[in-house]
Amino acid sequence: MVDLSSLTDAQLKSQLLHYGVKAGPIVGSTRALYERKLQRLMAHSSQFKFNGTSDAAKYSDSEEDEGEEEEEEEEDEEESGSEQLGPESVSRTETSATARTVGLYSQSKDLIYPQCFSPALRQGKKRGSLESSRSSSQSFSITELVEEIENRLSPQSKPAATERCSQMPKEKRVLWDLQQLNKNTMTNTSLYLTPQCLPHQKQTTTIKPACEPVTDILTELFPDTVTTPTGITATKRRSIKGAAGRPVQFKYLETPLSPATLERREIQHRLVPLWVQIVVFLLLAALLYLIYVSIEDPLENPFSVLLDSLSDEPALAPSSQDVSTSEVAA
Amino acid sequence: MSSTSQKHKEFVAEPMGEKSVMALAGIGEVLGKRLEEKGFDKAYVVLGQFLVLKKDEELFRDWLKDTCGANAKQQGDCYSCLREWCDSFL
Repeated sequence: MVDLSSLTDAQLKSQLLHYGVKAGPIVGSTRALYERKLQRLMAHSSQFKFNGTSDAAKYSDSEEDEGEEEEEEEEDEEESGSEQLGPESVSRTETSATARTVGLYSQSKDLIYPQCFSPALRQGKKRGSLESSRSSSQSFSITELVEEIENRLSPQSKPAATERCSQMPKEKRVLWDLQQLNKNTMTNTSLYLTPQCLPHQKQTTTIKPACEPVTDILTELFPDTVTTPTGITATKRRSIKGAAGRPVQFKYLETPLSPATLERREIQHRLVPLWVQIVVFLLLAALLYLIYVSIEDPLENPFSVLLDSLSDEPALAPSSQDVSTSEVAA
Repeated sequence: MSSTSQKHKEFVAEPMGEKSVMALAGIGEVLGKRLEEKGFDKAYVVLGQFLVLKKDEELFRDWLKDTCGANAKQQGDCYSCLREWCDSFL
């Protein structure tokens, strides 16, 4: 672990941000607290990392740490401490159960596999223990196992042969598989592992299979992840970065038909052709002109009437005045 | 903390002014002395620490435990007292 006291304030802050904590000002009076918090977060995250398939020793180790911390934190509340320990110990037994089945491999190889490995590992171990007497010198690797399954499923492999194999009794089958494959790869019998075989396997689970560390790291890191009919996908869990790479590839395929161009095309489909537009425009223009022409004549009439009435009025008014003056005069 | 203490109510009721650190809920004679030794003689100094920790409960509790060895209840009292004071006066 990094020595936290050697970090600068900014580094400490960014580290905390990395764990999703928005730290306040890191000053003399707060720095120690943030350091402690970061340490706790680090311990927590590493515990999560090992939680799945790591061996029991590591898990119990981290649990002890947790216990101490709990004691520190809750000096006065021992009851809450015991409460906290309760579920933890339960989960410990759960994981240690898997660790017992898986652990033999991971311990001996000093490798930590992600959780998705565990079913395959379990089967691999059972199979390994079966064969350990026969082929103790063989090394075991998940990727090779996957490749093996793929090979078997590829059209080159003889279907008749696999059928024959599945019909063979188990002991012979294993031997046959051993003959079929090259010496570096372990045979894959997981395809043929049926519930009938299980009792036999359980007897031998205590045998620790001899295995050598996996040498082929490249294939380990980049397995061809084609789904198998067994439903067991022995793929190494990728980091977020690796996962983010996939959509990029997808994007490259899409570039000629980017969303914008697609949209444009759709719009173009919907648009009426240019000549239709021109025709419509001309028609409208003609129509408007006709309306204008037809309106021009009747326009004159109302105005002329109005003008007539206006010109009439002054003629009328003096006559009435004349009448009134004539009346006055009378 | 089902019910708030008298001390809590008194503290939250008014601006803290120049109140001593012992006016804070959860901080008694002993813890107050320890805090004063460390330079936290006034309630507002503790408030400053509380604020610089961004009112984070976990961190403040941690700090209080470190500084004066307050137990969980005292930590909680002091924290909620300061938080409520901030809610009404900040």
